[in-house]
Amino acid sequence: MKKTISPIVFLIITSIAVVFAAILSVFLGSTNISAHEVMNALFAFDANQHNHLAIMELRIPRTIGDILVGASLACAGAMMQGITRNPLADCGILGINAGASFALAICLGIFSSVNFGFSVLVSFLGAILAAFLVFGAMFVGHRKMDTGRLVLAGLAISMFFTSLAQGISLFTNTGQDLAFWSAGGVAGIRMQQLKFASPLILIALIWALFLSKKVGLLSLGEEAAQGLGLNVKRSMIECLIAVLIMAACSSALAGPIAFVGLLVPYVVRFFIGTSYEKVIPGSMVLGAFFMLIADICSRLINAPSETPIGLIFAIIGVPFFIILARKGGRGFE
Amino acid sequence: MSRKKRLIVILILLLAGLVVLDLHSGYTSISWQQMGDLLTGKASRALSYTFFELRLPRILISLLVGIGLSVSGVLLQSVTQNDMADPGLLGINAGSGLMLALFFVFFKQSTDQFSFWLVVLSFIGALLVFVMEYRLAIVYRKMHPKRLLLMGVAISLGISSLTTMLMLKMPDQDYAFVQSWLTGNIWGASWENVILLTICFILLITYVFYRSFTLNVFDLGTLTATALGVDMKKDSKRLLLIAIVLSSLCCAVGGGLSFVGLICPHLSRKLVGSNHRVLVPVSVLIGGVLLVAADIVSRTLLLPNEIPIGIVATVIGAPYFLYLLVKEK
Amino acid sequence: MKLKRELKKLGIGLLMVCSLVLIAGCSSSSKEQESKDTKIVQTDKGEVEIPANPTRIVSDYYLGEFLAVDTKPIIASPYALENPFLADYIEGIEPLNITSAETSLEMIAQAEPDLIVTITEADYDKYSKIAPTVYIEDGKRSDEELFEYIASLVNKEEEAKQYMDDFYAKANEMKPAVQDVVKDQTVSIVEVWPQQIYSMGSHFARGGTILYDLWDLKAPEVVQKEMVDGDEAYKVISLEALPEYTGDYILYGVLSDTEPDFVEDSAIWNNLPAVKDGQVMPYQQVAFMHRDPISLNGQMDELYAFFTKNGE
Repeated sequence: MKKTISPIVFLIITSIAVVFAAILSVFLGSTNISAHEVMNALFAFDANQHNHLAIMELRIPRTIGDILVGASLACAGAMMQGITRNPLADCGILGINAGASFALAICLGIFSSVNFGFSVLVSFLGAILAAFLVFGAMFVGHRKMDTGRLVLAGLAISMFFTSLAQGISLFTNTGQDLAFWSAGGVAGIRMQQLKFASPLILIALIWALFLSKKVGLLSLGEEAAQGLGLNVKRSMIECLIAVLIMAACSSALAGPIAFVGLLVPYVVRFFIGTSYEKVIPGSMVLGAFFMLIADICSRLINAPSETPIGLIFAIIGVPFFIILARKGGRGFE
Repeated sequence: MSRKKRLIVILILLLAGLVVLDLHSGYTSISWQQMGDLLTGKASRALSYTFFELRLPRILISLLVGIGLSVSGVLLQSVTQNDMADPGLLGINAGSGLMLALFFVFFKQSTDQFSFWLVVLSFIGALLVFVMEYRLAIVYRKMHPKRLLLMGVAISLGISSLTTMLMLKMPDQDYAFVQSWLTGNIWGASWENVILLTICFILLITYVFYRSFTLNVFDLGTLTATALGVDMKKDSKRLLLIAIVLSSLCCAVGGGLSFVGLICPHLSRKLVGSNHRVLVPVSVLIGGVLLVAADIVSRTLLLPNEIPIGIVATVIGAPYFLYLLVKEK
Repeated sequence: MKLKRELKKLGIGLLMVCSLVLIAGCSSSSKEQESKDTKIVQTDKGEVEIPANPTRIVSDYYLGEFLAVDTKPIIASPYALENPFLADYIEGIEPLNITSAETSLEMIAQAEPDLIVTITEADYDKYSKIAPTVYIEDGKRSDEELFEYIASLVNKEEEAKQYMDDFYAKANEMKPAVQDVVKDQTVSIVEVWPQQIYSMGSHFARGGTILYDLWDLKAPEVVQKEMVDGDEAYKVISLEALPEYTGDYILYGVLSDTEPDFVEDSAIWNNLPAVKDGQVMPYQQVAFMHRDPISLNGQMDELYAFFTKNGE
């Protein structure tokens, strides 16, 4: 029996790590801005200094964006894993991101540019559609949620929407814009977008915290949960909505980034056990941390150009996932 | 005539009909009379080129890829005892795809040119992925078919995103290469590939056919198999290897399509049951029919534009797959 | 074993069809020999025999080079045809199809060309089965060498040389006026793609050769070092790095159908000295991305107009 760290300790350590990473994220970047300059930018802002502008206009929103997106993706992943009782569940695999991208593709095909709020709405609708298809498929067939089949359904839907999105972008010539969305990127995050997205994300995250107990119950299985007095259908829907809000906002802010929702809960479970009441908050904080670190890497690796953050997660994620899976057991069914 | 034989004849006729239709359609419509001219060598140079260098090889390749993926699917489903197995879903195609993308980044070659390395790399990529998945799926010495699939799904997604990133990182200011990529030059429709695939397939699929008995036994489960004296380990390795060779050949030629290997065996099973003696030939035919039909759609639906056949396959395949999921059990 | 018999029949049937087709294929490939005049040219793929006087030319990229010597291909690439500088010369040229290689190839075959000029190595084999094909590698030659080479294919070396002489003369005429305006200031080129910013020097069209090589203008330090004196063609930079890669003048292009808001709305962009002083010249990406002689001429005119007007 592997011993686990106390969740409080874990949260404290990771929170400190997040703060540390956030500071790094502001101080480091694709160009060299001395620490002295950074402090000046923060406390003696001069709009004529382009370095100051870089800090306030780019790095700070981006850092905030990293934290929010990282937290939501990880939290959404953890919740999905709990609801579907499937350790491989993740918004990407379940086709939710693909649905959001597909909706955005249609949108970009018709109007060549949209304001941010609209794109969040559209992504949200797309995500709902995908989720509806995936979960609908499950509920129609049989009462029980067969985890294997769920993932397969999600995969099929994901491929379906991705193909359609590719097809649309090919013919409406939005090919390039969309290609870049599939690489994901936080470089475009601006204060303006955050003003819209952060309240939404924060609400969803807080709600998720309240829902974490229900998620824990759901992860015991439908019958068990029901036996313990939970209104299963309603809880699932509540959780799904929270997940979808988080997924839609993250997609709109940063494009579809895979693996975060898969990786982070794994690591969290590794340290603090499988109780969802602990895993969900843990995932939020660790997710923020991972995202910040990945973003810093993406800025430094090939300066002054930036490596798409999705690539970094894929490079780290795939082997990491393999190693974790081989260690087997923990978190696996 | 028995029902099954009648079915086979119908399928053969259907296939022939589709092939002819495919030959006829496209940007340049080729009429009956023109086809006659082509066979007797009286046709114009342009028409000859279109027919012999463009259309015919492409249709044959579509046909062959359909066959290859279909049989690969049959093998995978039987050996892993998982009727959702498919070279695409199991990440085998993703493995090939990654190797191929790497190949194209370093040698900007057309898939037309017969390249030994292309085929080998494709196979290596596929094999690596599969071996990795297989070993991962073994927990406490037992291999759960479902787990294999889950591993496959995760790994295939991971590798696909790596591949997409790789392609995006290519300097796409390189218009020349991009234009070639965009115009679907990746579809390796050349006579060399046709011959390569035909020879390999004839050899491999005949072997598979002769192993029908073994495959039937696999369906019955491990215990029964051992009782009947079938060495599951050795045979499963061999047959899985063949499945991977088949699908990686298809990938190398440009057709790493998902769902084909899933749907064709399912359809075949619905029509003729699970006896591999009949299932294998029927899958061959159905694979051919499906892909040739997809090729027609791909080339004619949005004339003069072409829909990449991968998109056609997925847009048709995914809903059907979903339907299967919902309906089953 | 009945099924085996069925399969055998199927196999034999298919074999017969295949052999029929193959025989027909072979028989039709021995066509009449070309009895026209031909000449041998050196290409990037070795020696190729092409007609001495090609008239029906297909080019899948290079267009302006032909038009500058009064030769009009019958089919060309849509990317080249969209170039506004070439608009007056392209009537009657058919565009290739971008989404379908099949359609393009069939169109080319139907047109029965006598020469195909391509930039795409991967398509070489397909093209050479239709007509003699010359592969010209991108970026291997300087703009001038490229022009002369293409002109030599159609026996117009004289005209090409004359064109270049006129061009250089014009550049030299314009040079003092431009230098007078620019003096010691730096000039930079920036192009916006989806979520990406490209910085380039003298090796990547966009008028770079005119600015830095012909008119001897200076680029910002980093750009000068890497992309004018150095060999790098372009560099993708982050928004943060923009101040470093831009100078007192900015040539600014946006890829079509792209949202440049992430640059134009940012305080960093608006705070750049060039932007504040109104020394930004927007250019049409589809026009400036080409480096054929006609485009270069057009670009030079636009640049000259910009600088001299700005100087007033």
